[in-house]
Amino acid sequence: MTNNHTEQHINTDRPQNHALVDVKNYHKQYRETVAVEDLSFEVRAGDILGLVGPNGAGKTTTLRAVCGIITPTRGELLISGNDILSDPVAAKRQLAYVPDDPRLFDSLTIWEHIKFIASAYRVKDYEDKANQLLQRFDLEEKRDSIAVELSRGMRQKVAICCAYLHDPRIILFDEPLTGLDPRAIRSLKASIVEHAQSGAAVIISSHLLSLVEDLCSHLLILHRGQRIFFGSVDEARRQFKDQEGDASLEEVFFRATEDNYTAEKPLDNK
Amino acid sequence: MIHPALPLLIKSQYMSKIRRALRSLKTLRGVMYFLVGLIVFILWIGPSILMAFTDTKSREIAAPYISAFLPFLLLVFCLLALASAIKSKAIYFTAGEIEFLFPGPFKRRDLVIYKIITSVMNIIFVALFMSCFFMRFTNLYIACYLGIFFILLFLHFFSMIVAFISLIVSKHAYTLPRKNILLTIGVLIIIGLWKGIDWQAAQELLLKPLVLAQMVRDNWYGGVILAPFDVFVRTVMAPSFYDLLIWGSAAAGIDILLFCCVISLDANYLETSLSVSEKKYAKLERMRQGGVAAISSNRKTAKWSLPLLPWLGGAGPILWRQLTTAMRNSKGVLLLLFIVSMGIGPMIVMKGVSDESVPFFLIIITMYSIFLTQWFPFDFRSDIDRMDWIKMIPIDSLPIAIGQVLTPVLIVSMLEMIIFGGLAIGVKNNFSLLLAGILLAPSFNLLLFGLENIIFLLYPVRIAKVGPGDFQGFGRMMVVFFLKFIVIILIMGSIIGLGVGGYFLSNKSILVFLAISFTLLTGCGFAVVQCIAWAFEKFDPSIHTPT
Repeated sequence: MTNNHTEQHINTDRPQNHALVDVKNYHKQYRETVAVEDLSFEVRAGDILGLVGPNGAGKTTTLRAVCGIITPTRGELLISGNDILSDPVAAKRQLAYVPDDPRLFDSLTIWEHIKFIASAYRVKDYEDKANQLLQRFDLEEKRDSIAVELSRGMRQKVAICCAYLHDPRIILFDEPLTGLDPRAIRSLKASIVEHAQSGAAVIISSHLLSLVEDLCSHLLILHRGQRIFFGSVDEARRQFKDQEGDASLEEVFFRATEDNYTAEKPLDNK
Repeated sequence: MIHPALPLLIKSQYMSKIRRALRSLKTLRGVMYFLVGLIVFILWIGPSILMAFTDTKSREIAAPYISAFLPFLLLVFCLLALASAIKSKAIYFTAGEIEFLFPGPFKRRDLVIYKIITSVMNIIFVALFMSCFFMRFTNLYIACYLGIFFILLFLHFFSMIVAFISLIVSKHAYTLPRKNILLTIGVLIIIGLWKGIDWQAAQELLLKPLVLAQMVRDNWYGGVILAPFDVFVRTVMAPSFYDLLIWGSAAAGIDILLFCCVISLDANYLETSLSVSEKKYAKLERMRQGGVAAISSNRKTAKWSLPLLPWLGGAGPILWRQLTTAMRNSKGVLLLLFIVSMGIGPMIVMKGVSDESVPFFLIIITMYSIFLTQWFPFDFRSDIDRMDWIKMIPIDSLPIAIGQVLTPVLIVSMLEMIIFGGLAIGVKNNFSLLLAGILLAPSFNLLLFGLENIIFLLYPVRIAKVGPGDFQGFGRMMVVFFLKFIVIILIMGSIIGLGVGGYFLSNKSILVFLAISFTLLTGCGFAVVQCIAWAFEKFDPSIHTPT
């Protein structure tokens, strides 16, 4: 299986709309350590991209760079056409980021978090939408609870509600299911699909391959900071198939992250 | 202008703090803690305020010293801020601020202004407390308050400017040759300064600090360096409203100038702040779990391991774990030992070790032991988030209690033995009292740490610092401290009383005194460990784990 084979399939099933997230040759280096090496990928409206890879592969570093928290050593990151480096405010207005283990403002209530986000993203008449979100994630009875008293799962739900409040065009999730109860997991999965269907681009970084299998249309596999695969999920199954037929996502992951598997070269054109 | 969401956030945070304080006042315990905290605070600060109106003599005596030395002190603070800011190159954001503000639609400048506003709010309160203490040395209270406010603001802005400049410089000086060039320039400046100082004259003048201070001020270079600090000192010490207006305006002008510098320095600090804040958060977490001694530990790999201890009925493995934690934080432990020796060392030098001074040092060591209990929480107090796990271990509660409490007892006892050893060198005849100290110290420490653990298991709280205005936290601290102190006084009083009784009944035999005291104190120590085991059994992690 050659890398060229992969490149041929990347654009085949893709709608001809603009990329909402366009990462070109993103490279992040800490002194001698290369965290992410010349990574290129794009996420279009309606796409749900699964970002997978072993621990230390560079997933969180990539997500943090996309949302403008860390600066790339080199490369270009365009969010809805806005460069995250040169026009960070315009870029950040388009996106929402739900980190793994979200830390809230300890002394604020859930509703005060909502109020703050509404003000930050200039969302007018947010109350109805906020109430719907709180109801959807079983938080309406806790709206006056102070963040420091919330459990891990509830903090996750608050972060998700805050992320959805301003209808972002791009949503980034880092291990979104950690700590959530089954009802919340179902709500979150449904909401992700809804947002993608309404034209948002979603990136989910997760070790839960079943989640990626359920939701994602595209897959980006990172290993030791290098891109191993980028393309549609179907393409991944075909590329890593064995003799019996298409591979499961688990098999894709293990084959792609084997040490003797060579990384893809950066995309010159997508 | 700043993004409107940020003032809203600041307002919400302050309102919620007030709300939380009011909410905790609804319980009897909360009201009690608040009142105790308030009373102790008034007793603490009250004399300073009272003396400001009654004691004019101390003002007259202190004024020339403050005017002469405060500029130097500020210079030292600035140099420390310089060193710290060069190292960190960033401003600190809380975890919540990072999660919500960094990916949010805010300009970097907005976030800097947000941080400045929150700092100014804190400075307003801190200056209020500090001015209450220092008002008796100044002429006008308002001058004292404004002067301290401007000084703190100056130091804050100065640190920010240094951090930003050092961040900008480090971005351009990331290669080794560029770093070497910078280092060479730095070394040349230091050599130049070193050569410029007349060390012999300075040595002679060290004994006349006021004259030396005046000489440095009269020197052209010294005058220039100290000039901005002088402005702040003259504001603090302003004798009239006219002087306050002149010097206060100048101080405010300097602060405004620095503020403009901070705003105009458009350093991309987000990533560095993220990294620094994460490290600081990890440090706070370590401190929460291992106390002050755990602050300095940031190693990622372990190069050595303690050999496993024997089973000892189950206490061995538990003790091994706590000892390993304490040893891994040995840098922090050593730092604390250094601080302690800095406290005791000068006393030994000043008072001199002799037979007569042994009782004095025994009292000092006892007081230190009481204070050290807060600094070495390598016991149940650092395991607040691991109580589920400890409860799950298939070992009886008594060996668990022994294993948990023994580590800090051993550390503090070792420290005391070193001091006793030092004292033994200077003592000629009074060995019996020293021997009593050596024999009783470990059991006494067991009693101290045991009480600390019982109180913790019955009324658990997280190790956290008490902020300004937190009268409840302060009150709780004082109540616990006094409670502990009274229990220790009662137990030790009874033991020493019985020991002294035995001493007289046995024709003044020091051995009898020692035997009775040692037996009773050791017995008390074991009783306390039994109580810890009982309190541990009663501890329900689902109810008692504090948020």
